[in-house]
Amino acid sequence: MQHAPHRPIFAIGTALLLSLSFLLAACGTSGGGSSSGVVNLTFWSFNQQITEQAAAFNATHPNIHVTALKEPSGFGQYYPKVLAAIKAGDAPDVALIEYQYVPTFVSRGALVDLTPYGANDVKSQFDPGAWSLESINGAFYGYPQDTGPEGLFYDAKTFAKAGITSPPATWADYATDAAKIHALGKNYYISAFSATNTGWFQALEWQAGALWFSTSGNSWVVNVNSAKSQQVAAFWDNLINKGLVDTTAADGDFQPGWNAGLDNNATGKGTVIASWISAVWGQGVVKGDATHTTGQWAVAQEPQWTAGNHDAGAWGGSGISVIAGTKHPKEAAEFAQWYLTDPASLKIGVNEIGWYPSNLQARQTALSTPDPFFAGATSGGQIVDQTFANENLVQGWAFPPDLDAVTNFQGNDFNTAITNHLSLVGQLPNIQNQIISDLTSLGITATAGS
Amino acid sequence: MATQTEHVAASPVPEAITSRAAKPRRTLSLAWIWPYLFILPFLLVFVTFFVAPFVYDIIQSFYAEKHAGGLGLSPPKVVWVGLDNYVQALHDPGLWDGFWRVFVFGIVQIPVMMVLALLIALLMDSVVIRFRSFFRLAAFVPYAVPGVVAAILWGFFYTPGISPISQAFRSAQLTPPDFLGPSTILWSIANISTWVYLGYNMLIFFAAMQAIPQELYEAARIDGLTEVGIARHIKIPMIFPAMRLGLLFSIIGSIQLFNEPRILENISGAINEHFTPNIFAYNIAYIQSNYYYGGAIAALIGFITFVFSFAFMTLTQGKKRG
Amino acid sequence: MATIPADLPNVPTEQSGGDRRQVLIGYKAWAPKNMVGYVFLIGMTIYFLTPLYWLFIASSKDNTDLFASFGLWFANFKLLDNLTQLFTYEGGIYLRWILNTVLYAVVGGAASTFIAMMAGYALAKLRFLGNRLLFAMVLGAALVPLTTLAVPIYLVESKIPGLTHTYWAVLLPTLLSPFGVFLARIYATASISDDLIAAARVDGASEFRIFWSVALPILVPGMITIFLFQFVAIWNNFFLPLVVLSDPTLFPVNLGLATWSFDPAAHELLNNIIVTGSFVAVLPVAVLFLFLQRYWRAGLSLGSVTG
Repeated sequence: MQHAPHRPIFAIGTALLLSLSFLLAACGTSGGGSSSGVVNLTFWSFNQQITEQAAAFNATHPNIHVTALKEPSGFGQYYPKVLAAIKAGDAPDVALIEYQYVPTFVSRGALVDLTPYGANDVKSQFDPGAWSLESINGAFYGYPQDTGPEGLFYDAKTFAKAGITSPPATWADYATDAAKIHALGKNYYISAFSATNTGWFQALEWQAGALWFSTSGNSWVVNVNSAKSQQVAAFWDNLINKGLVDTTAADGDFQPGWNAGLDNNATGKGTVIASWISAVWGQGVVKGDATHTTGQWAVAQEPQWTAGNHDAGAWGGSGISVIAGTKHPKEAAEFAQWYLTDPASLKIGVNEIGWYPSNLQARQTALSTPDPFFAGATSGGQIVDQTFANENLVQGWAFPPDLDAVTNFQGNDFNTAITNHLSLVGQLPNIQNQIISDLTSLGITATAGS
Repeated sequence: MATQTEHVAASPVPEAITSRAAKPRRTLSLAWIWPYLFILPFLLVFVTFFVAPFVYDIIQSFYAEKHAGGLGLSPPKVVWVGLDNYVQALHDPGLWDGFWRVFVFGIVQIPVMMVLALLIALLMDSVVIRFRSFFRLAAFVPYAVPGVVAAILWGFFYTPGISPISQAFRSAQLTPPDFLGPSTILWSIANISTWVYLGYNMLIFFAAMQAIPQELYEAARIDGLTEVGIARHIKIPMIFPAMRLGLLFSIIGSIQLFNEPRILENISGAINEHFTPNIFAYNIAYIQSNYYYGGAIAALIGFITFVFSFAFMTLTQGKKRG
Repeated sequence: MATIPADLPNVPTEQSGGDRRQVLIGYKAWAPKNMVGYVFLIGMTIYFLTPLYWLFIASSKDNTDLFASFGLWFANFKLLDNLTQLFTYEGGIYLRWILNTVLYAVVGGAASTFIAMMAGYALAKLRFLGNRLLFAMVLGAALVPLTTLAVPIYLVESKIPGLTHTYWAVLLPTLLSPFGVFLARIYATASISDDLIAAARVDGASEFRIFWSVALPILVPGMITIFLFQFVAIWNNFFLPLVVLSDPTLFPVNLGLATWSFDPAAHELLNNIIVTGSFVAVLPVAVLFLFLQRYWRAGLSLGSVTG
C-alpha cells in the first residue's frame, strides 16, 4: 500500500515522456523546406491525389513550393473552415471552391480577382459555361476545374424487370417509370428525394430554366416562386404524394441507407434505389457504392421538359481560386493556372481523380474509354462522359451571394413539407421571402421576381 | 498507517507554530506569493483559451457585417450595431423553439436516467452483490465510447433499412418503429444520452452510498426498518449532495445538447437548424460563418444556462436544509 | 518529511466498505426478491452492451454482410481483412490518427490534470485574495457552450505565430479543464487535513514541497479520476481539431473517422472500415478504464461525499 499510489504517476510520467518525444519527432518532420528565395504556398482541396499534382508542379517550379492538403468535406465542414481561416488571417493561398460558393465568397471579400494575373490569356481553353460561373462583374475568381452537368444513372436490369425498355426521355416518362418501378415492390423506388439536398434540387430548377437568382442593374432578383419553379416543385410533389420516391432522410443521397439502396439492385432485398439523377461525377459514387451490380448500370441524358431537347442543369463542379490575404498572389495565381492548363496535372485530374474537366482539351482525352461497369444498355460498357458532353448546359443560372442562408431556408422548409406532408410548391413563397429579407439585412439590394 | 495518522494528529500544532515562528520571518514575508504560483498555470490557460475567446465573442456580438447596398460583391464593412443582434435573437422563434425542445427533453430524460441510476445503485448496494464489478464496468463502458463513434453506432441502429432492431421487427412480421421521425427523434436522442451517462451517474450514487457509515444501518435495523425503508430514509437523503451535483450537470448538459443531434441530422429530416439552442448557435456562427449574430446567441445560451443552474442550486439548497 | 499517510485518512473508500454487505444476515443471492434485482440488472447490462456487441460483430463483416446478414450474429468472419484494410487505407493513416489521439489525450490529459490539481489544491487549502472570484469563474466556464468558442479560440491561436496547424494548436487548449479544477478542489477539501499541512510547514517544507510530497500522494485516486475525465473529453474532441488543423496527418481518430464517414467524395464503400475503425477507437479508452478501475472508483467515492 505504501508504494502503490506512486505507480500510476510513474506510468503516466513515462507515457508523457514517450508521447512528447513522438510529438517532437513528428514536429521535426512536418516543418517543410523554406529555404531562401522559395515561395511557400498552401493549397486546400477535398479531392484525392492532389499531392501528386503538387509534386509535379514543385518539380518544374524550383522557386515555388506548394503544400497540398486534403481537407475534410461533407456536412458543411469545408467552406466554414476556409472562411474561419480567412478571418484568422491563416488561410491557404489557393483553394478548391465549388461554383455555387463563388458569389458568397466574393461577397465576403474572400477571393482574389485573377484578371490582372493573365487569366484571360487562357480563357479560350475552357468551357464557356463554367468560365461564366467564375466571372462576376467583370472580375474573374477561379479557373474552372470540373463541371457537373446532370444526367440519369439507372440500373438497367431493375428497369427491365419493371418492363421499362428505354430510359425516360421526358419527365412525364420519368413519372410513369417511377410508378412501374414501385410496382415491383414496396421497397423499390426510382429515386430518393432528400429535402436537404438543396443543390440537387436547384440543378433541377436550373434545367427547367427557372433561374432562381439573377441581377438587374444594381439589384438581385430572387425568383424562387416563378411559374417554372413551381412546375418543377409540383412535379416532385406528385411523386412524393404517391409514395414513388423514397423521402426517408436516412435513405437520402450519400447516407448509408442510400449507399446500400443502390447496391440492393443486385438482390432486390431491402430498400432498392433504381436510379439517380446526378452530375457526371456521380459515376464514381455509383461504382463505389453498388459494387455488386457491375454491368447492370447505364447512363442517359437528363429527362427533358420538352421532348427532343438536350437541356441539363449542373450540380456541383468547382474551380481553383486564390484566397484573399495571400502574401504571394502572383505565384498563387501561377499555380492555379498551371493546375488546370498543364497536361500532366490535367492527366492526373482526369485519370485519377475522375474530373469531367472544364478544360476543353483535357475533356477530349476524358471521352475515350468505355466503362464496363456501365454495360446495362450497351454491351462492353458506355463512354459515360460522352452522354454528358452531348447535353447543353442551360445558360443564365447565377448563384446567390448568401448561399449558406439559402441552403438553410430551402432545407428547413422542404424538410417541414416532407415531415408534415405539405407541398413543396407551398414552401416556395416563404423561401423566397426569407432570402430577400436575409439579403436586405446584409445591406444587399434584392427584389422579388415578377 | 495507524502510527502515521497518529503522528499527524498528535502534532502539537499551536506550539510548533510559536516555536518556529521566530526564525523564518523573512521567508514568510514572501509566502503570500505561493497561492498565486499554484494557480498561475491554470490562470494562463484559462485566460488564453477561455476568457480571451469569450470576451472576443461578446465583443463581436455587438457588431455585424454590412454591405452598402447594391449586389454586395465587394468586401462588407464591420459596423457597430449595439444590441441589435440580441434583439434579433430574442425575437427569433428558432431560438425559443430550441429552448422549448431541450426543456421537454430535460423534463423527461433527466428523471428517467436518474431514477434508473438510483435504482441500479440501490440494487448493487444491497441486493445484487455477486458480479458487482462486472455490472459496474458494463454500465460505465458507454461513457468511454467517443462521441463520434456513439453517433455512427446509433446511426446504424436507427437507419430503417440497416438497423438490427428493424431487422428483428421485420422477422417478427411487425412494422419497425421510425426512430428518426419528427415525433420520435427527440426520444431517440434521449436514448443515446441515457445510454452514455446513466452509468456515470449510477457510479457516483453507488460510491456515495458505499460511503454511508455502517452504524446508521445498524441503528435503522434496530428501529425495525426494512431494506426499502432504509433506502428511503437513509440512503437517498444521505446521497442527496451527489444527486444534486449529478442533476446540475444533467441540466447543463440538456440545455447544451449538441453532439447527438448534430451527427443524427444527416439521417433525420426532423432535425432542423434550430433543433437545440446549441445547434442553432453552431449553424449561425460556424456553418453560416456569421460570427457576430452567433456570438450573441452563444452569450444568451450561457446566460440562460446560468439562470437555470442558479435557480436549481437555490431551490435545492432550501430542500437540503429543510 | 517523515510521514505520509498512505491511504485516505478520513474518507471511507469504497474498498473498505465494499465487502461489508456480504455479512448481511440471511443474505441469499438467489432468494426470489433478490432474483428480481438480478434480472433487472442483467436487462440493463444488455442495454449497455448490445450496441458495443453489435459494433464488434459488425467489424467482422464485409460490406455485403454488414447490412444483409442478421446484425447480432457473425456472418463470414472478415475481421482480419477489415483490420488490414483499415490500417492500410490511404497509406495507413488510421494508425497515425490513433497515435495522434493517444498523444493528445495522454499529454493533454496529464498536463491538464496537474494544472487542475495545483489550482484546485490552492482553492481548497490556501488563502489568497480572489480565491472565491476564481472559483466562481471556474464554475461559470462550465455554463458557456464550448462548441461556439472553437472559432474564437482559433482566432486567438492565430495571433500566436506558428501555432495553428500544429500539434500544439490542439494540445494547448486541452490544458484547460475547469471541471478538473472543480473536482480537484472537492478532493483536496475532502482528503487533506489542515493539520497535515500545518505540520509540514512546521517541518520547514516549502509550499510546493508540501503540495508535491504531502498532498499529491494522497490525491492520487482523485488525480487519476480527473485524468480519466479529461482523457475521455480529449478523446472526444472533435470540433476544435476540425477548425485548427488542416493537415490530415495531425488529426485525432474521431475527426479522421468523421472524414471518412461523411465524405461524399469517397468513391468507395467505406462502411466496413468505418465500423472497424470505430470499434478499434473504443478499445484504448475501455482498456484504460479497466486497468485504472481501482483508482477511479476511489476517486468517484471521494467526489461523491462532498457535493
